[in-house]
Amino acid sequence: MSCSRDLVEAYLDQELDANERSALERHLAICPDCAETYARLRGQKDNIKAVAPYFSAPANLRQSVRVALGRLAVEPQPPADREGRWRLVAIAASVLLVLSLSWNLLRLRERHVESNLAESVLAEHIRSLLGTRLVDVASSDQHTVKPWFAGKLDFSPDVRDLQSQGFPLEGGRVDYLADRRVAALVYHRRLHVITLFIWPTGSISTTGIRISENGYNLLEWTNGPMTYWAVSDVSLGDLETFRTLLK
Amino acid sequence: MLPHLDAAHNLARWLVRDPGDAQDVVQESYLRAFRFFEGYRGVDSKAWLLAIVRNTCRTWQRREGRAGDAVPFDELAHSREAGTPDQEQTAIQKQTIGLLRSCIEDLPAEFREVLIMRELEEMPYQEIAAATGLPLGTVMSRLSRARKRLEECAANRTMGTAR
Repeated sequence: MSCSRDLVEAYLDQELDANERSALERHLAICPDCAETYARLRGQKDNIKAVAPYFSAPANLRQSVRVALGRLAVEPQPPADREGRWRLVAIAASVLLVLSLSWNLLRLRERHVESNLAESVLAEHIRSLLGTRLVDVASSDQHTVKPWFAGKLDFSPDVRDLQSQGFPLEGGRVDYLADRRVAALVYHRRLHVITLFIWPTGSISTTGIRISENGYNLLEWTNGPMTYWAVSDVSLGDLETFRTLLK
Repeated sequence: MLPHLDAAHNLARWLVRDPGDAQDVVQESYLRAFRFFEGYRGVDSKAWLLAIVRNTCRTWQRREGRAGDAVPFDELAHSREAGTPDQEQTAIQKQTIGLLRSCIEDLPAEFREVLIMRELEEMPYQEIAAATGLPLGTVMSRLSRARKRLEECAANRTMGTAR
């Protein structure tokens, strides 16, 4: 992999996807030039935050904008007849409504890191199906798969074959998600593939997420110290059965 | 409530620099947002509003007959930083910090705006592109050039003071 300044910047700006991120991180570890560029840009970014003040709106501004908007809404506008004036009031109300709605949504999105996480989980699953690498250790024997993770991860995932319950284990691989290495176990359900991601529950603990998107279903749960994400194109019912079997 | 008011004020303040002008620009921007609401196409409302603030800043500076870069930058009147001076700072640190800040202030407006949106507002490239009306690639290259300019500027001025 070659490393350009642009790529390092995109990495620092959090514009890379999980695969690109982990590829760049591997590269930074072995390329002193890129590591130097990274350190320099990282330093600049931190310094900018430290020296450039964020000018929050003063309280009196909030008040005067509100007053000005209110005046505009009730003031007779040149071409506006009675009806037009009411239309303006309605527009003023909807401007504030839409702005505050989307503002709240943004806030919500910021607060809930999991929606980004869900996207990454789904992206990792789809990427694994597109590529040639579904598993790095192919075995339906949990006693082969579990030890394989030793030394590759800083935790030991619980590996269980569910062949007799209709979810045969195909194997496992290591993926990069949520800024860490995670265990990815691959199961089958008839002709479908289920990826089960496992990692230790971090500081952000979310639980019971259930998302359906573009024909894929995602379930999230925690069990003891571990967070689990199951993603597949099987029905939500099948996926819930799968979760119950693992719990 | 008025959403994005802090973001609008911060951007206006960095673009027109004068505290009073910045407040006028923000007020005018909200009035414009209100008038042009029918032009709102359901894109990200923050980007939409900041696009209006950005245009209002330009009109404002044209009307005031100044480029905006000639106005001396006023010290932090409403900044988050104000009131928490770090007394432990060494003279050298202060100097470097002052240098970097003056370098940001001296960036041409087209570089300053993308830098402020990225580093202070922490907007993704896509959102900056929507707010500036620039293609994504241009946003990335402007941001990159802004950072290079800052590096050069800080290096030059450090050398200048060391001499």
